[in-house]
Amino acid sequence: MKFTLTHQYTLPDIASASVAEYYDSCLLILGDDSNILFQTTPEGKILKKIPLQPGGLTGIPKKQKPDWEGGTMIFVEDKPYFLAAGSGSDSPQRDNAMMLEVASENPPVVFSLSRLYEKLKEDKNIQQLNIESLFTFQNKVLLINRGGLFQPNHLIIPDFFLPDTGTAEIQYHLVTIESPLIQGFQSGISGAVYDEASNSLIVCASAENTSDTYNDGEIIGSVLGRVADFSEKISSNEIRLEEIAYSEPVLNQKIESLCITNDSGDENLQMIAVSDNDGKHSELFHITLHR
Amino acid sequence: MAVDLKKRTEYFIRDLHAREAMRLGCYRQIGSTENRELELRERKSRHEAFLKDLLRKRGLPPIWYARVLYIFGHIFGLVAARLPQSWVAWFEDLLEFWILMRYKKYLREMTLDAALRSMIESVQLKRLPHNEPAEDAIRLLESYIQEQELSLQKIV
Repeated sequence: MKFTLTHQYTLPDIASASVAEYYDSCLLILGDDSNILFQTTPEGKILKKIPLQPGGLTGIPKKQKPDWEGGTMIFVEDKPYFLAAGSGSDSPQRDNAMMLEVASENPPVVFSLSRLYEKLKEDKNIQQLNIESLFTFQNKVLLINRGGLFQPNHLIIPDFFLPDTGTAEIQYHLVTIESPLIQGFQSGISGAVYDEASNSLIVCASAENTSDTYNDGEIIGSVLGRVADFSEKISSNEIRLEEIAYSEPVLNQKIESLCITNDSGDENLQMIAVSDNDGKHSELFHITLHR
Repeated sequence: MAVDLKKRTEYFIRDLHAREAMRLGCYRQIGSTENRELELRERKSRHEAFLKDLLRKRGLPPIWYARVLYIFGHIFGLVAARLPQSWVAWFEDLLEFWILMRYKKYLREMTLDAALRSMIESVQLKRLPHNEPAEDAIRLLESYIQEQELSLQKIV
């Protein structure tokens, strides 16, 4: 499995892009320090700005930022919804999720995930909560807690992605995912997407020169990886990441999110990745994965 | 991820109905006058009837394998009637436990679906065109679970 970078675009008006999801020829992009959801063309041209809260802001200071890090599309009763979640690395401002009915003009609904995140923080296997990715697999929403120097990445399989109004007991299964070293620095998974046609989990992992999940460090680079036969491995306790490739233009960026744009089931898989360059302009990459 | 709340609820009811129909078929063949068998036969008959009533209210036929399981239950009942009573009692306990687990699993799924439904309605700013998972199904399952748990406690 190899990949080719086909196009690269700069997003001058979108800083700190950390979530990208593709639906109906449009991209939905969220920045981790922003309360505005951007609807753009696949090339990154802004079509619409959707405030998540009245008077949506960008460039929210680190202490208060919602830290949107994971997003995915879900379909309920045949209608598409965009679902995004905060990292949970600081409470309560990063413990929220948002849901938007994509095909309507209704405003998004922001709800708290404190119950789920509190439960995860109590888990002795998770030293620091830092949810970086959300993706759907079969009929479930799965999360990835980013690893680092002191903890591995964790795939979290909750039996339901509940808002706090739910009263049912939260149950989940944890799977450890190892990610590689990049230039001697431990990488952590920052984005993931499930490719149904090849039954693979495609992930991006990036490394920073920092020892904790809260503070940013110098960007070392990113790597793309995959987990083949994902549906068979999901019930195990540990999954090993198969490295796909390093590529110069992508290597020195912090890839934050991946989404599939065209999966015809043939040998090429079209994807889009976004990078957050910590204060500089975000970048958009069109990638072709060769199966 | 694609969820159809109506279809899921309907499947849960139809599947439980098929499982209760199998047990009913079994007890109709065992034909014992023992108190426990009579109690179980009466309970299965009631459960099957109420689940069938939920299907009728929704205009749904039983699931395709309900008939197959019902016949299988009869065959199993015929065999069980000739086995030692202790074996049959042991197997009944196991079946009672399995169906309790199934009821609990589906009740949990329906409760979570109800939470998802309320979330979707708050996003859509309007009610869904149907009311699944409806209160009647959730309440029926809750009452069955209580009843099954009580009967298993008696056995212990």
